Formats: sequence, C-alpha cells, structure tokens
Amino acid sequence: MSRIAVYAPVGRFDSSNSRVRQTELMAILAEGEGSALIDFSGVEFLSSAGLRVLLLAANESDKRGGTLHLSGARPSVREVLVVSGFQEILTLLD
Amino acid sequence: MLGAVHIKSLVTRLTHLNSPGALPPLSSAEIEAVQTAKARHNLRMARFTVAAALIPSFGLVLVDIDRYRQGLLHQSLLYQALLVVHVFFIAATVSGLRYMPLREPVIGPNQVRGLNRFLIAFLGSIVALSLFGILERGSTTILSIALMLMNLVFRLPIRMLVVVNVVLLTTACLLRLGYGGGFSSVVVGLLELITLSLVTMIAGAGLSRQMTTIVLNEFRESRGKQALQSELDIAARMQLMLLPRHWPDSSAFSLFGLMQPARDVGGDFFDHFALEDGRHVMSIADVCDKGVAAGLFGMMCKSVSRSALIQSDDIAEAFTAINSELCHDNDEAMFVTFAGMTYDPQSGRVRLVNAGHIDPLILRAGQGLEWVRAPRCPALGMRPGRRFEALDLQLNPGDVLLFMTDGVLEAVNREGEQFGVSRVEQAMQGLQARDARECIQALVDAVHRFASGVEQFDDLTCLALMHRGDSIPATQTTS
Repeated sequence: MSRIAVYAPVGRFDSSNSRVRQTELMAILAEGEGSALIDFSGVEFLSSAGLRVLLLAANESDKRGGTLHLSGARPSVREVLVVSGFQEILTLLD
Repeated sequence: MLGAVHIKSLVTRLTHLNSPGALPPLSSAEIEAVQTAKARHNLRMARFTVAAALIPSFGLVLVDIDRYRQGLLHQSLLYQALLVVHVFFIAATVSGLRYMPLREPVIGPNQVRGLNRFLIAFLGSIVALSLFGILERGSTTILSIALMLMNLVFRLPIRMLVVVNVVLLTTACLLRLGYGGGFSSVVVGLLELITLSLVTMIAGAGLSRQMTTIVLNEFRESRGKQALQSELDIAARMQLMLLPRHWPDSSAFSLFGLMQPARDVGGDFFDHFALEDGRHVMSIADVCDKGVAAGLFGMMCKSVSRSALIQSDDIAEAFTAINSELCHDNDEAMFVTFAGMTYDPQSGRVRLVNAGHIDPLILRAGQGLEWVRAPRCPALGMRPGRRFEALDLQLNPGDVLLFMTDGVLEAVNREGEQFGVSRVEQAMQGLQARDARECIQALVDAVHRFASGVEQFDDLTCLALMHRGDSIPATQTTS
C-alpha cells in the first residue's frame, strides 16, 4: 500500500503567499513521489498567482509520472479552477 | 594661510570615513548620509554638553581672577591668554546656539559643515581650558572630562580620536611634569589619565563604527527600495504602452477598451486590428500573477498573438498556435487567460474563442443580457498540443459584446463582498448606451461606486464592441 501525500492549505491562496505555498507544495510532491492530494477545503480565495502554483505542481507531477488530485474546493474557488481550465491538468474531486 | 589650508586638509583626512582596513569604500552619497546622521546626533548631544560646560567655564573665570589678585598665577601673560581662551570658548558656545533650535531640527548636508566648525571650536577651547588647568592648578580633572566628552559623546572617527588623544596626552604629561609635585603622585595621576583616554577612545570608536553601520544599512535599504520602485514604474508604463490608443467609431461599429492599472504591475492587456478582408480582430487577456514578470509575459503574449491572429485563416487555429508557442520552454508555468474573436462589421458575424477567460456578455438591443458560453478551453500556456474550439455568434444592430477581466468581478467593497456577476448584470440591464465607450463607462462607474474607499487590488480591464450594422468603412478616431 502506498502512502498518499496530502497538502491542505488554509486561507487565501494568492500573490501574498504564493512563494511559500509553492515551496510547501513542491516538498509534498517530492514526498509523494510526484503524486499528491491537495485538500482545498480551507482555501477562501484563489487568485491567478495561486493558479500558477497549481500549474507548476501539475507540471512537476507530470514530469515524475504522478497524478495530482484536488478536493473540497468551495463553489467560488471551484469556478475559478474550472473557468481557467484547470480540470484538464489536475483531477477535481468533490 | 598655508597653515590654514594644511589644517583644513588634515581635518578632512582625519574625519574621512574611508579609513584603511575598516569599511569597504563608501560612495560620496553614503559618506554624506553618515556625516549628516552623525551631525544630527552631535547636535542633539551638543545641547546638553554645552549647557554643562558653560557653568564651570564661568566659575573658572571668577576663580582665575581671584587667583590673579592673590598673585597665585605664574605670570600675567599666561593669565591674559587664559582669558582669551575663556572668551573664545564662550563665544564659540554662544555662536553654536543657533544650531540648537528647541525642536528636533531638520538638518541638511550644508549645515553639517557649520556644525562641525562649531564642534571643533567648542572642543578646542575646552581642551585648551583643561591644559591651562594643569598648568595653573596641576589638576587633570577638566582634561579627563574633556577626553571623556570628546571620545564618548561625539561620534568621531577612530583616526581623529587617536591623533587628538595622543597630542593631548603628550602635552598633558609635559605640562604636568613641568608643574612639579611629588613624583609618585604625578605618575599615578598621569597613568589614570592615560587609562581613561584609552578606554574611552576604544569605546568611542566602537560607538562611531556602530552608528556608521546602522546609518549605512538604512541608507542602502532605502536606496534599494527606490531603485525597485522606479523599475516597477517603468514596467507599469510599458504595460500601458501595450494598449491600443485608437478606437474605431463609425456607423458600422464602435469599439472601446479601458484598463485602470492597480498599484502593482499586472499583465492585463487588450488589442484590436483590422484584417485585409475587412474583418476586425479583438482580444483581451489577463496574465497570471502580478509584477514585472507578468508584464513581460504580457508583452510576449501580445506580439505572439498578433502575428498568429494575422497569419491564421481561422481563429481557433490561431489559438492553437499561440498556445503551443507560449507552452514552449515555459518552465516558470506562466499562463494567460485569453479571449479573442474575429468580427465582420458587414454581417455582424462573430467567431469567438475563450481560453480560460471570463465569459463575455452580450447586451441584446432591447432584449436583455446573454452570457456567451463558448466551448470551455484552458488558459494559454498550460497544455501543450491542446486544440482550441470556436463559437459562432450573430450580432444584430445595436447589440453590444462586452469583455472584462477578473479585476471587474473581484473588485471588493468595504464589507469585503465581491462585485460579482449579478452586479455586472445590474449595471448593464436596460442600459441605453450610444456607443461602446458609454457602455464601458457605465460598468466602470458601477465598479467604482461599489468599491469606493477600498484600494484597487487588480487591474480593472474591459473591452466593448457595439455592432451598428451600416457598412460604411470604419474611420479611426483618437480616444
């Protein structure tokens, strides 16, 4: 049985903290050997700077042959993800 | 005359901050900043030291007059010299008072020189007084006080301190030996003086260095901030340069776009141009993130998209080409949400691709609002090899097609609520706009009313096309 690396950020996910989030998420991805579950239930706001961090993570996960799942996004955050087409680069769970 | 020049150059060399082996060479602006800070410090200190020094000075004049009457002074010439020094000291002190306003002074580099002159006169005369004190009374008390004052209170550089201390101590030793008295008491007194001088000199040099370092750090930090700000200003200006300045307004159609940049540089832009076959191309884009990188990526997007939109026969193909160009070597994972369309002014036909951008809104003349749900495509720069699909639309005379970026939907009011889709609809519902500009103005005014008193966080960008239907060729007007 393989372990699942989970990343659960809380609060805003935008340019004010995107660098920190990026470092954290990359560390989790390394731990999960390219695969991770991002628990978005604590995220209140997602900006394009935050989307860029997710894209970086998805590219990294792709490179390592892993999969990236994102769960628990509230409706407003989910809409941001869907409008910009992120359901194509990571698996959106409810 | 020559002597004065020599002393001046000596003082300059001694007070110069670039002492060997100390700090790395400083620029003239840095030296000026440090000197100004030290002068400001000395000015604060001078109020107290001057006040403290005036009292014994007056007292000693009285004492010396009394001693002269009793015939205790060695010779009258010395007494006269002593009086001159007293007068000089008091004059220097009084002249220094103009540098001592009651409130915290704002002091510039020009005042530094005047203050330094005062300090040199002040210290010089107090030192002279203390030497006279040894000569006349055999007491080193005043000299000790003068040394402590000079070494500890005023932030003088180490080289100046060493030279002044050595000169003073040598003179004091010679004078004290000349005054006479028991050998051991003379030696003990002088050793105490030398120890005091060394200890305070070392401490004073440390304080001076500490102050120099603190001031330098603050100075460099503020310089760095200024440089960064001016780079950001350049980037912001470049962002505005990206935008078209000419907006067609004819009986066939009216087009207008507006971008109000936020404080940080962003990457929003829009573009429009005519194709050879009479169709018109319009686009609007929002680059991810903010800052100079977003601005530069925006510039690249604009040039890549323009050439692809001109070269491709179909707009969906153009999007596929732009996307693969932006995905190429995109290690930084920059992406852009991008909506573009070709528009035929004669027929009102629109072919539109939406790559991850907010849906455009159609204001149907006399029939209400309609959000345009084009096939869902990802933003550009994310998925290499992705093919893009277009949506065909028909505009009727009087219809307005309105594009916006998330700066509109995510504008926040004092209560923290977002402007949102419903307020866009509210602002546009039943709007009787005569041209595209009025339509944009109505939307922007509504956003401003909603978000008044809150700092704008994101670029506010929108673009509108009003289809009028007459097939007279468009004339260019300047906005």
